[in-house]
Amino acid sequence: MNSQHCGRYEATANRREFLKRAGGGFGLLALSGLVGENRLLAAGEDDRLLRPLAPRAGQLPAKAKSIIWLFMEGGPSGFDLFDPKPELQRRHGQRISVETFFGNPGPLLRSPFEFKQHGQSGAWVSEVYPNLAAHVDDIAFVKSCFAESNNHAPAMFHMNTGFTRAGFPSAGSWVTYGLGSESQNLPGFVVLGNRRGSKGGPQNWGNGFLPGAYQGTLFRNGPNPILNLTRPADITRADQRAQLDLMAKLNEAHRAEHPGEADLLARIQNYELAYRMQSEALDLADLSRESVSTKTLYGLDQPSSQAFGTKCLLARRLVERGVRFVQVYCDEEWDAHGDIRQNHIDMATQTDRGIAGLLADLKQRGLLDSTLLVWGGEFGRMPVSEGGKGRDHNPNGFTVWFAGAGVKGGMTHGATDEIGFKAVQDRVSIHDLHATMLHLMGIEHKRLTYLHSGRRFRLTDVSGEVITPILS
Amino acid sequence: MTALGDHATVDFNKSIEPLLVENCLKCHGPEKQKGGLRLDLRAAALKGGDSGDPAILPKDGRHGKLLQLISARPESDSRMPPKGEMLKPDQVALLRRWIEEGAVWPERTLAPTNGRPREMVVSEDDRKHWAFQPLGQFQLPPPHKRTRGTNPIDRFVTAKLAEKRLKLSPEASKGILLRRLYLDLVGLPPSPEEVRSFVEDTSPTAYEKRVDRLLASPAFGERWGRHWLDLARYADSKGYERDGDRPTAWHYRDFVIQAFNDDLPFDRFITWQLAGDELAPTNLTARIATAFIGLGSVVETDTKLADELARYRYADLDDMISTVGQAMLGLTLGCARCHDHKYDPIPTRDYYRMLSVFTPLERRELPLATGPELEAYRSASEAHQRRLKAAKQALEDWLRPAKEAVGPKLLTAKSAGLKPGEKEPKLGDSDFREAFTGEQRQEWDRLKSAVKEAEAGAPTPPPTAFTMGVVDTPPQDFLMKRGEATQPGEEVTPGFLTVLLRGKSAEDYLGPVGAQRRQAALATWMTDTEHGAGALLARVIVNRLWQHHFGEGLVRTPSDFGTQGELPSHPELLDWLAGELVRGGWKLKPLHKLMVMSATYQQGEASGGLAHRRPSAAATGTGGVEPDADNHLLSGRRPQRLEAEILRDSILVVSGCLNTNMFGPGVKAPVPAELNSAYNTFDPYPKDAKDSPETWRRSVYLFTKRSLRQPLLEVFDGADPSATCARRLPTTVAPQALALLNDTWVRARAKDFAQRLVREAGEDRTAQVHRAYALALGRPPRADEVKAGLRFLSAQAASRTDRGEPDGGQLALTDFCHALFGLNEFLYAD
Repeated sequence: MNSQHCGRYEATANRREFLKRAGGGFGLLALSGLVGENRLLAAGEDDRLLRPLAPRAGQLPAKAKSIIWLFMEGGPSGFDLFDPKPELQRRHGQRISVETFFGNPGPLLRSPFEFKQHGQSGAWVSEVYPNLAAHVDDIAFVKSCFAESNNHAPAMFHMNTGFTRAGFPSAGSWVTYGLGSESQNLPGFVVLGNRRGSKGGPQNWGNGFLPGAYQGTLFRNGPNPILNLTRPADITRADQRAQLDLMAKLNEAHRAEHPGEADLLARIQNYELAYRMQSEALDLADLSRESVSTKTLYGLDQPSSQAFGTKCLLARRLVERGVRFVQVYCDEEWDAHGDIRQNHIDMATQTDRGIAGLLADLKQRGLLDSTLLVWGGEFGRMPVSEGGKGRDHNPNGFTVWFAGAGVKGGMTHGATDEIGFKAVQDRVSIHDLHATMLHLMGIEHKRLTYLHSGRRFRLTDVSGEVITPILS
Repeated sequence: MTALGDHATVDFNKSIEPLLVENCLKCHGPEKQKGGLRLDLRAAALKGGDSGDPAILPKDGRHGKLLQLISARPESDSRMPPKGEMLKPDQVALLRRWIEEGAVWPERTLAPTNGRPREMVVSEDDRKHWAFQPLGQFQLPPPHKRTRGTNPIDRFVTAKLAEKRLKLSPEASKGILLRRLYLDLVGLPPSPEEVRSFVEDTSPTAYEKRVDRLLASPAFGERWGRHWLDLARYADSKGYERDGDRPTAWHYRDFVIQAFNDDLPFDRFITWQLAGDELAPTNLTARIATAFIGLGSVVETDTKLADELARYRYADLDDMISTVGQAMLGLTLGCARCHDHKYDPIPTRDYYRMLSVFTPLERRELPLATGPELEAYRSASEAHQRRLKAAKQALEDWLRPAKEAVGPKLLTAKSAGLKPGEKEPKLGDSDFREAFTGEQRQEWDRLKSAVKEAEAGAPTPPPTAFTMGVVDTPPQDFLMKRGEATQPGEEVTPGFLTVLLRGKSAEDYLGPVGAQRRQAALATWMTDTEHGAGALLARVIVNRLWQHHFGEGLVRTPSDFGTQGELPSHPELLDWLAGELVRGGWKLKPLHKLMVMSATYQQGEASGGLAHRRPSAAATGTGGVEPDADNHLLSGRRPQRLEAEILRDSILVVSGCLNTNMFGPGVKAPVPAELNSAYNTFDPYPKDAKDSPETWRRSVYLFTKRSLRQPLLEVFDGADPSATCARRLPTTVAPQALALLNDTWVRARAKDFAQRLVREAGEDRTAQVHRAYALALGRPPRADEVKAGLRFLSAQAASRTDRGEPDGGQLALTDFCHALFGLNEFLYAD
C-alpha cells in the first residue's frame, strides 16, 4: 500500500472524511500508485487517488456525457461503404505503382457495390448498409483519415492509444482518468469485445501507465459479463453474506490498529461494492425486460445480426447507467484480403441493424444528445486488388464517422484522392480523431497529461487538432 | 581570405543555421520580433524589419542590413548582436559568402530554441546533479544518543529524525517482525513452528540467525529475482498481435534467480547481461544473461514494406535502450529519441550513439549441448531426414500411378450433369479412395502410416536458450531525424552518455574503430565508478533494495534519478550505502542484511499510525505542516500490501499446496476460458490446462504470455511486461474483491486449507480456528476472534446442513478459510 508521499498533500488528515463521503465506486480507490513517479500532480489529484471514478468536469463545456465507439476491427473499406469513387470504377483493371502490406498488388479493383444517396444531406451509402443509410443526416463522415502502421496490432494500438507500440493508456482510460464516470457500481470503461479476441489483445483497452482503475473492463457475452462476477458453485448469496460479515468484523479490528491507513478501509468497502456489483452487473446484462420491438430494432431477431445487435443494446444500457466510455467491437473482422465483396457483405450484415437500432433508440430516448458515437476501424483498404477479389490494408486514407452529441449531422469532412488511395483534402490524423473525441467530452486534449518516465504524456502525444467543421 | 577554401560552398545546415539560431533568433525568431524582423524564415529575412530595408540581399555581399549591422564597430549603438561578443570575423565572412552564393535556405523554419545552442552540449554544470556525482561525498555520522544498536543506517535515520524532534517508533512485536521478514526476504509466510521457535528463542542473535537463514534460502532468489524480472520486462512470449512463445527464455529467469541466490556481484550481474557474449563467450550462464537486452516485445510480421519494418526495428531498439537506461541507470533515455532530453542532459546524439551498441545485435538460440551431443544430434537428424524422404518417396511412387489409372474415368463421371458456366469438379482423396480396391486402400494406408512413423521418429533437438548475439557486419548507424525510423540523418559512431563520462571519453572505452567490442565497452563504462556510470548504477540498485525492504525508495522515483525525479530523502545514507556496495565488491546480500538488521526496519507502526506525527491543530494552527505524515523520515513502519505473486504463493503455502520445485520451463496454469479467446496468436495458450499440483509452483515460474496474463496476478497489479517496471502500483479496486470472493482457484485452495486443518488439528472447532490463525496470520487468535470464528462455523454448518448438504460442516470450514484469505491482515505485511 505504499505511502502517499509528497508534503503537497495536505489532505492526508481528511482522507477518512473523503472516504466517508465517497460511498463507493467500481475502482473505489486506486490509492497509491497514482502518485508513483507522478510528481507534478495538479490540485485535486488527491481526490482522484481516493475516488478514481468520481465524476469530474473537464476544462471545456462537455457536449457528450458518454462515448460509444463502434470499433470496426480489421479495416473497413471507405470507398466500398460511404465514399464512392467513380474514377476507381472507370479505371478498373489498370495497374498503378503501389506497395502493399503482403506484397503482390493487383490492378485497381472497382467496388462491387451499388451506391445511393440518402437523407436530406444526400450522403452516399453502399447497398450493404441499408438500415444505417436511414440515419445519414445524423452523421458526420470524416473521409480523410490516415494512420501510420500497415499492420493490425500496431494500428489497433495506434487507434486506441495514440501510439503504435504496446503499453500506452487507451483513449477510454484517458477519458475515465479525466472525467471519472457517472456510474459508481459499474466500471467507467467497458469493452464489448470481438468474440474471437482482438488483435493485440487487452492492451487495446489497457491503462498503460495510468492507475489500474482506468483499465477497460472486458464484458463477456451472456449473463455473466465480468470475470468472477458469479459465486463459486458451492456458495450461496447467504453464505457469501455471512463471509462478508465475518470479514468486516475481523478487518475492523485490524484497522483499529492502523488508524490513518486509508486504504485498509477502502479495501473493506470494496468487498461491499463487489457484493453489490454482482447484482448490478447481472441486472445490466439481463435483457429480458427489453421489449420485443426494441430487440427487433437492434436486429436480435436474426442470427446474422443478433450478436452485434446485443452488444449495441448493451451499450445503450451501459450509457443509460452512466458508464462513461463503451467500446463495441465487431465479431470477426473487416479484413477482406480474400474477397472484398463477401467479407463486407457479411460484416455489414452483422453490424447494420445493431448500429441503426442504436442510433434510433438513443434518439427516441433522448440519449443521442448526450452520447457521442464513433464508427471506424484501424485503417482502410487498398483500391488495388489482392489475389483477384480482395483488398490489402491501407493506412493512407479511410473513413471514420461521428454522430450524436455535439456533432453536426449530414455532412462530410475531408476527402481521399480520386481512387481512394490516400487522404488528400483536410487530412485527419488519429491524434485529430482523439482530440475531437476529448473535445466533445469537455477535455482540452493538450491539458490531459500524465507524467511518466520523466515526460508528460498525452493521448495525442505532441500533435492533434480538433476537427472543428464537424462540431455542431 | 575566409575560413573556406575558394571553391567550397557554404552548407546552410551546418554553418549558417547554427549562427542564426545562436546569435539572432532570441530577438528575431518565432517568439519575439524586435524591430519587426524575424530571421527564422527566408522570406521574412529577405523582407526585413520595420525599417523596410531587406536584411539579406541574395548574391550581394556588400549591402543588406544584416551584414552591415554584424560588421559594425563593437561600440556602435546599432551593432548586432546588441550585447556581448560580436560575431568573429570568420563567422561574418561565412555569412557573407553564403549570401554571395545566393543565400540558399531550405523551405523551412529554423528551430525555435530561444537562443539556446541548437544541439545540446553537456557541460560540467550538468554533471553537478546530485545523482551524477562520484560516490564518497558523505561520511558515516557519529552515533546519536538516541540510536538503538550499532547499525550505521540507524545513525543516518535518527540524525534526520532528530532534526524534526522525532524518533523511531518502538520495535515491532516478534510475531509481526518475523512475518514481515519472511514475506520480504523469501516471499513466503513463516510456518507456525517457525514463528513459535523464534518467539521462544530469547538469545540476542535470534533475529540475526533468521536473517542469515533466509538470505541463504533458495526461496530468496525466487523472491528477489522477481523484482529484477519486473525491470527486465521478462515474459515467455514475444507480444503484439501474434505473441508467439519464446520457449527458451526461462533460462534467463533461472539465471536471475540463481544469481541472487549465489550473490553474484552486481557489477558482474550487469556486465553479463550487457555483454556476456563478448566478455565470456564460453560461459553459458553469462551468455544466457545477455538475453536481458532482447527480452522486450517484437512484432512478427510477413510484411515486406521497408518503412513498416524500419519502424518495428527502431521500436525494438528503443525498448532495449530505454530498458537499460531505466533499469540500470534510473534515466529515461527514451525521451531523447526524437529531440534532446527536455530535462536531463541527454542529447539526442548520445541516444543514437548509445543505440549503436545494440544495432549489431540479433536474437538467437544459444546451443546448450556439448560438441559430441550436437554431433550426435546432427547425424541422427540426417538419418531421420533420409528415412522420412524415403517413406514419402515410396508413398508418392505408389500413389501417382494408382491415381492416374483411375483419374480420367472418375473425372468424366463427376463432370456428368454439369451445368454450363459451372466450374470443373476437382478430384479429392476421398474420390480416389472410393474408386480404389480394398487391397489398394490397405496399401495406401500402410504407406501413409509409414510416413507418419518416420515423422514421429524425429530426434529431440538439443536444448538451446534464448539470447543475443552480434552479427558479422554491424549496420551503419544514423541519428534519426525527429526520431523517425525512416528519416536517417547524420551517421553516428558508438558512444555513451556524455554526462556520465568523467576524465575519459567513450572512445577510451571502445578502443580503435574496427576492433571495437561495443557491448564490452558499454559494460565497462556502466560499472566504472570512477570515470563512467558506476556510481549511478550503484545508487540506483541500492535504492531498489531499500524500496522493496521499506516500501518506498530513498528516492521515490526509482527509475528516474534525473532532474525530474525526486530528491533522495536521505542523500547521505544513499551515498554511503552505494559506497558500501562498491567497497564490498558489489555483493548485495551484505546490504540486504544491513538493511533488515537496522532498527529502522524493525520498528513497528508509529503508535496511533500516522496520526502521532501530526502536531495537534492547536499547536500549529490550521496551516501546520505534519513533520512526517508521508513517512519520508522513516519514523515508523507502514503496512505493505503483498505483491500479486506473493499473495498467490502465500495462499499456496497456507493451504499446504505449494510445490517447491525450482527452475525449468514456465508452468502453464489454467486461465478462464472466456479470457483465453485471443485469436491469431502463435502458440496459443492451452485451453485445457488443469489446476494440478504441477501448477502449484511459485508464481515466478508461471508462464507469462503477454497477451494473456494470469488474471489473479493481473488484478493484483502484477508487472505488465510490455515495458520495464520499477514499481508495482498497489491499487485497491473492486475486481480484487471479486477475485478473492469468487475466483474458483481461490475457492479450491480454501478447500485444501480446510482439509489441512482437519488433518492437523482434528475435528475440534476451537483447535481448527487456532491452527487456521497460526497458518494464515502467524499468530494465535484473540478470544473475541475465536468466538467470532466458532459462531461463524456453527451458523454456516447449520445453514448448510439445513439445506441438505451432506458435508455441511467441512464446507463451513472451507467458508471460514476462504474468508481468512480476504482479510487485510493476510493481504498486508505489517
